[in-house]
Amino acid sequence: MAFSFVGILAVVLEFFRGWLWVLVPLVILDLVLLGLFFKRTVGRRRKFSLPFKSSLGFGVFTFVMALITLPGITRSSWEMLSGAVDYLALIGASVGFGVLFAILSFPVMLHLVGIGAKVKPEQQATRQTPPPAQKDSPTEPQGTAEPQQSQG
Amino acid sequence: MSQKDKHIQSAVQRALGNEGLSRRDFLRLSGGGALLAGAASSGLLYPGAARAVPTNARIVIVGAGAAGLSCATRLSRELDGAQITLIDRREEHYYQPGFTLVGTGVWGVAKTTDKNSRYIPSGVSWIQDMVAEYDPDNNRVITDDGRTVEYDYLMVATGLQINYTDIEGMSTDLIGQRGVGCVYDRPDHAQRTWGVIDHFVDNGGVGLFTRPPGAIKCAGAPLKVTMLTESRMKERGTRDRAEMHYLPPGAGLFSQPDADDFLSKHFPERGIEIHWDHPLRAIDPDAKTATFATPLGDETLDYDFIHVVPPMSAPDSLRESELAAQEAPFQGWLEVDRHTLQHNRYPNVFGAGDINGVPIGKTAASVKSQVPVAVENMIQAIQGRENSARYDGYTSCPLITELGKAILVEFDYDLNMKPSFPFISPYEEHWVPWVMKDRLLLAAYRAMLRGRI
Repeated sequence: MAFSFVGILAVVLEFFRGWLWVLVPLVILDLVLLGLFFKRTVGRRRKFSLPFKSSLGFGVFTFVMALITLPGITRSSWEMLSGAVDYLALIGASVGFGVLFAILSFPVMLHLVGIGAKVKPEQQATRQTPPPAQKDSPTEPQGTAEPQQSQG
Repeated sequence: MSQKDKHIQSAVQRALGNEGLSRRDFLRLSGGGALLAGAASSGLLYPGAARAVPTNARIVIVGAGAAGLSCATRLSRELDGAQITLIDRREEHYYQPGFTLVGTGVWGVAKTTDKNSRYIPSGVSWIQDMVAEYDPDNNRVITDDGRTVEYDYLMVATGLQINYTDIEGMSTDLIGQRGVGCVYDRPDHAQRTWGVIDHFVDNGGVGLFTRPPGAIKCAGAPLKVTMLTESRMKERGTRDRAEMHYLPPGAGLFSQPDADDFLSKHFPERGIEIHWDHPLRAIDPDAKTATFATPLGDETLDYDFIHVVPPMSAPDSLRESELAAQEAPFQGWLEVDRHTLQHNRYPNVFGAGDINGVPIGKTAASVKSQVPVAVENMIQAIQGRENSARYDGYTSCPLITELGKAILVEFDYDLNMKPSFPFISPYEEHWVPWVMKDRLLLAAYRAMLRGRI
């Protein structure tokens, strides 16, 4: 029985239909957190490297936990696994969970470790200094919000 | 740009401006619309008609089980203007492939019960009654309450009936009492069966696991109940308290030869004794004895638990009608061509699901393969064209051997293995088919009811 790509997507959609009550609020919460992050960081440094690494760590932790617990969660056990198919499926599913949780945790990590110190006005001015060829052209003084947003 | 093009462009911009839209907004909305249109036309968001065939044909579908609902969804999507009527009294929809899991305590009963109304497409009329009589010579069916429903095309998807009374002493009231179990037909039967299996698993004794002669739905279910019960005992450390016997009616356990070979060796390895040629004839629930009609005469065995699987047939109304096959091997079942699923004598009648008189395939997986064929051929008949869709007998059984592993057996009329996923061996027990059965097949079933697969 062949399954088309659209058919597989339809099955996946049906599978998650029962989990939408959890997934939709989570995604909305993440989007709100993401929006809030950009709002909170107006006039501040935004750090992406540390939140990314933290989320990655969280994803790796989830991957390892999934690897250990998935057979039990599915009412099976490690002893029941046999052959490359089972192990590859387990690894694949665990990677999936790891990626999912890494993505979901990223906005939270942004808030926890992604907000830097306030940017001093002189630093902003230095950053906004036009290239030498245009140095003579008049530069209008800018507010703090504008340049920060352009860096986002 | 020509003068004419400039004229058109300014007219478009004026129109957008009147609606308060910039050119950029328009392009953005167009992109979103294109994406939505793509998703919709692929049938993911709404399985609407891409190229619906215009017709004013009156189509009657008898039965709102897996096959009936899938046919209703597909026909309503692929026909424009047809008058489609679905006849079935039942409001609940049962996910029958889950009954073995309910009967062995793996699933709760709620997971197998749904509402038919959730899957009936708008525009399909639903008569909540049962067909009492088929009159194919006059293109009509008559319902229990005497209503006559005429049709131009008929899709028979009634499923089958379970003949409990064919086993002397058996009735549905016994299920869940005095050591009698039967996971078939209704979720409450499966739930009550778990009650007696649970008791047997704890206390042990003699367990008899039966299977009737003739075609039955999900022929793997009696085997799965046996193996899952044994697995439960190992899990609880009570296996040594029980004696387990499997009693098939003939000299085989499974129609597919490779699976049959595997099981014939596997059962004795697990201490499950096979008694060939033992069709169940009668039970005495008070004495807790079961009588089997063996070739050497009746044989009566004591039991502490018995899994009764009664013989099955087409519903009486169909079996006694002109639509039923008059001769063996499919006598009493809907007489259809095994490949086109069109009736052999009434070309405006088609069949889908358990009711079809075909060699194998009374499973939900068969329904998944049969429905597109039956629907396409019916539509071609409506168009006056030669039918071209063919069913190859595909059926599937995720044969659960233990809690946590299974074999995915898929085969066709020729009994050749037809694996959907070539990387999953149909000859070995794996965790992946167990996960599919436990977690994914219900989603696939619902996608099938919605006509998406």
